[in-house]
Amino acid sequence: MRSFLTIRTVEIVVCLLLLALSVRVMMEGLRLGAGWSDRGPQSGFFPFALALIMALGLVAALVSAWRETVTRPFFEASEEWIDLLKVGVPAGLAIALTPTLGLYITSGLYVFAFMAWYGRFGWLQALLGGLLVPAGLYLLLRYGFNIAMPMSPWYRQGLLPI
Amino acid sequence: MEALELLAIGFAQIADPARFGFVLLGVVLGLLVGVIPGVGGTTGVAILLPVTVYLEPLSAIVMLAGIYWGAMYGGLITSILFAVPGNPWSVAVMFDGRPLALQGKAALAMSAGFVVSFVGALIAAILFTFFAMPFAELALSFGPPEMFAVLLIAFGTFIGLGGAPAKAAIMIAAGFLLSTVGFDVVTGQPRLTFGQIALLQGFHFVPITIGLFGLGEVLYNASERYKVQIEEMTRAAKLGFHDIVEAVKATIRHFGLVVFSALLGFFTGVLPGAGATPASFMSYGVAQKLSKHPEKFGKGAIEGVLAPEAANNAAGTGSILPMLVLGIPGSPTAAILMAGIFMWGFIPGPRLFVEQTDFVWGFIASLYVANVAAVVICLTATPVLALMLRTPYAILTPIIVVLCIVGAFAIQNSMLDVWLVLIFGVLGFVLRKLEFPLAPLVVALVLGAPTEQALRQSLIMSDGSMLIFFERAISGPLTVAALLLLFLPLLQLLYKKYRGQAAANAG
Repeated sequence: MRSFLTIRTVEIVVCLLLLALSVRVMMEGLRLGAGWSDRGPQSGFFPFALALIMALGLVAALVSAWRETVTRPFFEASEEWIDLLKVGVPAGLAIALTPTLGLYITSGLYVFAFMAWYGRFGWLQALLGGLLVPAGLYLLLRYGFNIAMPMSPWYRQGLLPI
Repeated sequence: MEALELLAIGFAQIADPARFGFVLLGVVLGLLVGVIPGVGGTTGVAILLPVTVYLEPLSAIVMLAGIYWGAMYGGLITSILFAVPGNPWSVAVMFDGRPLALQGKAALAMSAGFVVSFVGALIAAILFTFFAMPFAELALSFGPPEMFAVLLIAFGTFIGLGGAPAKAAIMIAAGFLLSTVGFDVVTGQPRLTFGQIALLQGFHFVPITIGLFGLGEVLYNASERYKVQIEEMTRAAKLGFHDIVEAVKATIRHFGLVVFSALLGFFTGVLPGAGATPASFMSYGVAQKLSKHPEKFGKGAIEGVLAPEAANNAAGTGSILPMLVLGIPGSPTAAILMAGIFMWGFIPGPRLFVEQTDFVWGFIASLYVANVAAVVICLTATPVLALMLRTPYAILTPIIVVLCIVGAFAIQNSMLDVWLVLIFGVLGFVLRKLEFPLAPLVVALVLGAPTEQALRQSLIMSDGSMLIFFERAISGPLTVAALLLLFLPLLQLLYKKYRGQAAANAG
């Protein structure tokens, strides 16, 4: 699968996506009025002009990517995307869980799971990490700086301090 | 000397033990952030920004700036030892630092880097001290057209000197567009919200920066991880007294080059939009051209370490100057510092120099203090810092990700900002892979509103005529310079075509 996923292919795809976006923004700019009123540019003038500049840049980038004859694979070794997924998916999950479980519970689970699974730490060490990181954060944010963080549903029911 | 008196006031401000402590804390955090793979100085400053709301302004800025300086020193350790530049401005030092390390001279290369970073930063701090007031006085006379012209120079620099003009233009336009989301500053009309109420408040740039530079860097490092063997190299991180003496000797031997690089760095840094990265590459190139033995470059020439390090530290300091004086940050880190200044209740710009003398000069004094602290810590404690590299990756990564979430959420208590981190983290990874420059996007996002405002105010002044930018004494030359920078890549292209055609005709 790596043979066709080259830097060039990805670049072309990204440029096309961004181009679609800039066309959409240009339409929005036109809807808002992209011309000049007696008080200077209308609301849509800037978005329209900027989207146009972006589109021009994208066309230039597309042309130069299209002409590229020698290109490197996007992932040079299979380790690259395996490691990327191993790190990226848990990070994404942690972000996705934060609104429901709250920061402290999520970060505890995240540190614990990542240490045990990716780092191959022993259960005890991972558990220690999963307890110490949220505890440290809680002390720092709650008592040190008094910054509110997302909390768990149990906090709202008064069952947990986090 | 007026500047010296003001500087004395500044030192008196910094002499306060708590503030001095915050300078040190910042530098130490910066060194750690610079050494730890996966977080650069920009991320460090962005994540800690929300926390500083609870500090007094001077402590807050000296701490955040301390992180910036510390990261500059720390970054060279990983560049030299592992060929993993923690920051884009540490790439140039790798060209010769890495070969030196492979020859077993890592300690010498690192000590030389630290010593010369200090000298470069010191020269820049002195220039900063004496340029700040005249610069601020000049800026006081600026109206909207002049501001717009300077802003245009910032974008021109990204496009003309950045190396990838089309990509830089795309990123600038994208950053600008993100900044226009929400209510129109002049007419109050909602723009680009596509009916989403959550988008009405617009995008705050801190979550986007944390996404691009924080999570994006975590992902990028994850994919590059298999290349690096950290364990073997940490042993090379011991600096002996002998190495430090050698490093000082090398710095003195090439003192002319060091001073020149620092000057080049400072002025490139002051140019809004340029920052430390082009400065380090430019001075590396100059060092090679001036050298008596250019063939040694890339194979472990000490000048190849001295020049870019002197330049990038000087440029880092220089890039703060337009931010303080004009409210135009030259680098993403300077942009975050500027957001901080707003949060602490001040407005960056020439009035700051008149109204908040203690704050401004306390900060300038901290430049000296922070750099002395950084060089001393580096020369004595590099083994400890390198030990940080042994912190298991499986512990560091989740902590960095969690800190990204904390930093993004804390800025305005919005979950949307946390999602932005994820979206821009993935985007940042892909764009970095495709070699799109990320700094222009962040800087444009911050400068979007002021640029639009300056343009519209100018056009109201002139009843809609664009000529106003060319007619005024200061804005005229600035606008012309900005346009030249903007069209420099196009001119170069045409020139090349013309030369090619001339050659074809002759042949």
